[in-house]
Amino acid sequence: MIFLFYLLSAIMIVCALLVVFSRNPINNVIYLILCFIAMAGHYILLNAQFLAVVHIIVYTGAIMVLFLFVIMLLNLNKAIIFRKSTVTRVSAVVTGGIFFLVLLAATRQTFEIHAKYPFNSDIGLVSGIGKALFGEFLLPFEISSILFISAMVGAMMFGKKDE
Amino acid sequence: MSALIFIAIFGIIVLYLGFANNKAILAPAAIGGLLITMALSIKDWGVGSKYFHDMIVVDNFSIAFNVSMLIITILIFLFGVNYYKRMEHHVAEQYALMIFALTGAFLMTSYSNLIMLFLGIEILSIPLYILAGGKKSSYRSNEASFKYFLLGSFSTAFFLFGIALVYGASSTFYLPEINTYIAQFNGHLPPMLMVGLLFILIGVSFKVAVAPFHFWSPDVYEGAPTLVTAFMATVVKTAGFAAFYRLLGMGLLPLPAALEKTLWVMTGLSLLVGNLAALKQSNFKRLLAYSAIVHTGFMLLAMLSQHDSAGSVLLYYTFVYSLATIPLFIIFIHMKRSAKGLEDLVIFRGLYKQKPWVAVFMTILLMSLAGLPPTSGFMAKYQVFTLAISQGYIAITIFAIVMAIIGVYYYFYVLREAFTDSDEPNPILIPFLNAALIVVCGIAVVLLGLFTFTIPI
Amino acid sequence: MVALIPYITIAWLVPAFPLVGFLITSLAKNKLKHNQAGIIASTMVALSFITSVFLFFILNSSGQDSATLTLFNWVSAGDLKIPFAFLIDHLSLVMMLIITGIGALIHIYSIGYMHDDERVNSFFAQMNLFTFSMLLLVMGANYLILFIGWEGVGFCSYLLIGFWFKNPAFNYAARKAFVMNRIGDLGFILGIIMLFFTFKSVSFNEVFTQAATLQSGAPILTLITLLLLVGAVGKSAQIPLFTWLPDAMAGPTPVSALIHAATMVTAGIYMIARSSILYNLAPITSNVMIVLGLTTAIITAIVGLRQNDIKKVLAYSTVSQLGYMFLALGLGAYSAAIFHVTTHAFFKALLFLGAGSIIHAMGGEQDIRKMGGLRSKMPITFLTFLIATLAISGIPPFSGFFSKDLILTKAFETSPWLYAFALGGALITCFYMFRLFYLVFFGDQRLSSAHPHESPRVMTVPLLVLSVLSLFGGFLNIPALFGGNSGFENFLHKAVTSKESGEIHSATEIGLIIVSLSLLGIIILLAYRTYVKKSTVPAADGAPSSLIARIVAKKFYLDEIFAALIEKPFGRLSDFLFKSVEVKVLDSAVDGVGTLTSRLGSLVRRLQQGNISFYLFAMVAGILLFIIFILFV
Repeated sequence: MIFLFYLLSAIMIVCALLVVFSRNPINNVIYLILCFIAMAGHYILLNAQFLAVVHIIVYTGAIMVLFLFVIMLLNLNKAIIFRKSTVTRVSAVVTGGIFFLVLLAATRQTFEIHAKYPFNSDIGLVSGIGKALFGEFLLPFEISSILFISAMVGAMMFGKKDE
Repeated sequence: MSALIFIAIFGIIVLYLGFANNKAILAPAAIGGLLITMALSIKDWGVGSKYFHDMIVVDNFSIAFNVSMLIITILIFLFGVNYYKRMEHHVAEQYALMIFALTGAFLMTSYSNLIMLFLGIEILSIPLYILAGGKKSSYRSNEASFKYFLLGSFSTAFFLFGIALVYGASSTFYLPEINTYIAQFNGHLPPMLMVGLLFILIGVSFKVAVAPFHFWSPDVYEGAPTLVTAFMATVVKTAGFAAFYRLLGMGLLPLPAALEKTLWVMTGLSLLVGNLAALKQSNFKRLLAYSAIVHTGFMLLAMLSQHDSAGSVLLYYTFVYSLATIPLFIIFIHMKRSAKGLEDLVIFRGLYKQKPWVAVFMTILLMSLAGLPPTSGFMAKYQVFTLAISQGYIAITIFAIVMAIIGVYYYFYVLREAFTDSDEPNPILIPFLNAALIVVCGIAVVLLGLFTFTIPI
Repeated sequence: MVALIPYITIAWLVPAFPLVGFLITSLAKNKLKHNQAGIIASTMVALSFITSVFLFFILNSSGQDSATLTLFNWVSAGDLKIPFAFLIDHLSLVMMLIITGIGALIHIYSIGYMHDDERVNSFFAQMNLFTFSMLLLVMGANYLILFIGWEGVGFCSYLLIGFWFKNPAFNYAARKAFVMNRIGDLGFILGIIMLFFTFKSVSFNEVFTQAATLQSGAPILTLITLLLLVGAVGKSAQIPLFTWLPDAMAGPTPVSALIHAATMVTAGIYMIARSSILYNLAPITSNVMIVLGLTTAIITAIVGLRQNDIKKVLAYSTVSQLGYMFLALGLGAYSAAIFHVTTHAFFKALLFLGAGSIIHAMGGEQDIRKMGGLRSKMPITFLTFLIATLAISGIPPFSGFFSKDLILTKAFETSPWLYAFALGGALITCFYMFRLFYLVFFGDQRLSSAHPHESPRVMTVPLLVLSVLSLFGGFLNIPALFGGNSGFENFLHKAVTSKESGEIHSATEIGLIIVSLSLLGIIILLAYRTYVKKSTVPAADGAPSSLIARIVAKKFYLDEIFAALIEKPFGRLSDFLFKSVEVKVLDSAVDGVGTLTSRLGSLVRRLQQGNISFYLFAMVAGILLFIIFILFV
């Protein structure tokens, strides 16, 4: 189990880095898909099979494939070269690096989370999630429909041609 | 609670009204719906109850802010009657998106759970990203939309990360529980919790454009359609501050000393950066964006004073600020149209010559923004300063007063243009409804200054 | 005895009339025909004046010292309650009478003066608003209302000075006045805040009652009075904030008259006189005022010697006279200062309106070197200008004599040195005023193109009224020495608390008057010899200065002494002060503050170029700094 955890984590980190460093948009998307699949692996390790499946279906299957189509249809699959001055690059790298170190320092000294919610192995299953969504988190679940409908309206507005 | 449910459904109804292919019914219908929402909100006054596993709290604070935002939105919809006359498509969507954004704003005033705050901010933001890009043919509008979206997602990421860290430390999303959890450390918080809280504060700061997280606002204010800019400058700011106050004033204050100092630094920076940049602006919308940043600084000052009446002062401040801002945008859009699309300050030239009464009301409105007596803007600033002083924050108050005085300069600069004659006067047309709005808001700005209200919240 | 309370309620009419006038003239400005706006505006101010006169008699016959009229409760935030109230007492009544009386005359005069201007309606609207703000300033019963009036006056002056905005220099002048006033206002606001902290109130009555219990020289009082003084220095144009006033000549001449004589610049004097109780308890501030006032009086008088623009000369004389008022305030002779405000209002209004009449007649020419010989062409203006010149120079029995002599006597009581310096300043004033007078009215006409003519009656009648006032205004306060009873001082005594000063022997007093009068006589004769007998005309701006030396060196011994002792060194000093101190040091110091802010503004703006990766970078850097701060600092 521990071995799997480290393996999946390593895959995720490497893929995430490749997403950033790769210059071809199609490769970017594919690395991101790999990253998501590794994340789904983590869900399974936590006994959250339902979440893992949903994650793969939604993110990997729907969203990222759509991305891939768009990139191919618009013929964007050329390497992109960013022109940025050295100063910008160096300062960005330095800031990012320090940021990483600081966050690491902050979270490294974590502490025992008190056992208010003991680990419930059913929580990631369909029934557990369903109870949470339609129980305690009913309002957020319902109200997020407003979020989606406004996003849909936006997509329609931007997508439709004005005659 | 019924108000929240009603407005969420009502947005969809307005969307469907678009099928009627009759633009004339949209604004009256939308305003009618908002009035019903207002009635439903006021009905709950004084009850104070929690709903849905304590996800949201409907108390006097949230009702007062909701009603204030409803009034402002109604004014903006009235402005929209003429504004959208020339627009052919998607008018119903524009109204619906604003109502959706208002739904998000409602969540921001009444959350007691960080998840609800996050959803509120997102429901408010996504329609705004779309509205900012509402002028599809305009390059600047597209740019504004994209920039707002990109920077907004960035801040959302930080905000979510902050929530995750806080949850990781305290294993709860509920503000009261987080509050008691923090209290047990006596000010010496573990680093993870500190960073988490900081990220949450930064996420909210971004929404209300506190320096140094203000960079998006001038560009977006400038590029977005004027009506949307007015909406952002008023309703979004009010909602942001209501959320901020619920987070701090009713939740986390007194913060650990370091976090509080951080917020003081942001306050000072907002006042300074906003003012300095505004001094050099020649574009009216950018000028108002920077002035909004300065006003943010004043509101932060009120909030950080940690006085019991800070909520009431904030309500008053945001309301009178919004009342003064909307008619200024209305005047601006008509001047812009008469100047064939220019947005520089020079377009105000000749206003006094052609429409002296508009210039007089503009004087009142700008005086209110500048905080000069006898307008309500003065009373608002005055209350903020007395609050801060009464709690002993003297140095920062004096700094804020100095900044307020510097601010008078650029407001008067606009005014001076309005009272200057134009070399090539273009006819200025102001339709009756908009003229009435300018007059009503102008009078309200003065009356609210003479008879200041305090709502017990 | 008349009961005061029922009648005092009409006091709100005094500011209400100009406000109504402003509303009418501004809202209906496209409908009013040529003279209507002027007539409406003048009537409104005149009505205010009549109301003030009525109040004056009521207050006098009531035997009461003061009355407060509360209109409504204005601010009520927590335990703080500030009513919107007017305080009617002897001090505010004097100021109201000056503002409305002189103001009405200036309004009437403007009907003639602004006759041809296309924006005459806006002009009168702004003038009425100006009068309204000033009335608010002097009538308010607390510092907050005073402050509103203070800001209103500043704003209106900004509009009026820049009234002819098409000239960029005029615009610059307006902006300069605005900026300088803001510097002063900053001090003033901080002063009010400190007041509020100390006394938990801004109402005059409460503040003064509480302050009277404090120890003299208490540091907090010194701080408050110094801060308020900064405000007064800005508004009343004292060193170092005086340079805006001469530049403010850019506005139409009646505006200058209104600013200089009746309203704006006296606001600082009024505010300090009103706060006399505080200032009596702050000896350090009083000493600062003495130094500031005297320095301003002398330096600006010397600068005035070399000015050739008729309005500039008058402007410097205003600054110089304001210096005397500050001197009086510093000496604790508050009623003497207000008395000088009163007489100064009479003769300075007369001088400005006379100058306006001259400029009007010369077709817009303002250079005194190009005038001359106007005595026969404009007899009324000549006569009235003569009276005003005599009054400002302090020749008895003109009004200026009484007020200036009062200040000089007070100075002598404190120290003979103060007296000597103050008298020196007065002599210089006398010289440049007569220089102006002779150059304009005597000799030959030097500009052939102009055809001077007497101004219309709507302009000369105010001149005549003002000259009567300048002539007899001094009799309001005849000192005991001349068998009078110091009526004005006694009248004000109920409202302001002047410091007790040592008695001065009447023989000494007569001696001082004789000394000053004989010196004044000599100065007038000198000026006469120089500018009338020998028809000296000041050199053109570009001509070598030896020209003056040559002309002066030719004739009498007396002239040579005069030239060597007074004109040359003082001329140089004058040039030096004007060119170096005023232009270089003061102007650039004031500009420097503006430039610095503006540079910083450009810097901040440059950061904001719309580059999104920079925005992200700045955001992350900001967050990073904050994290490091909260975790490690």
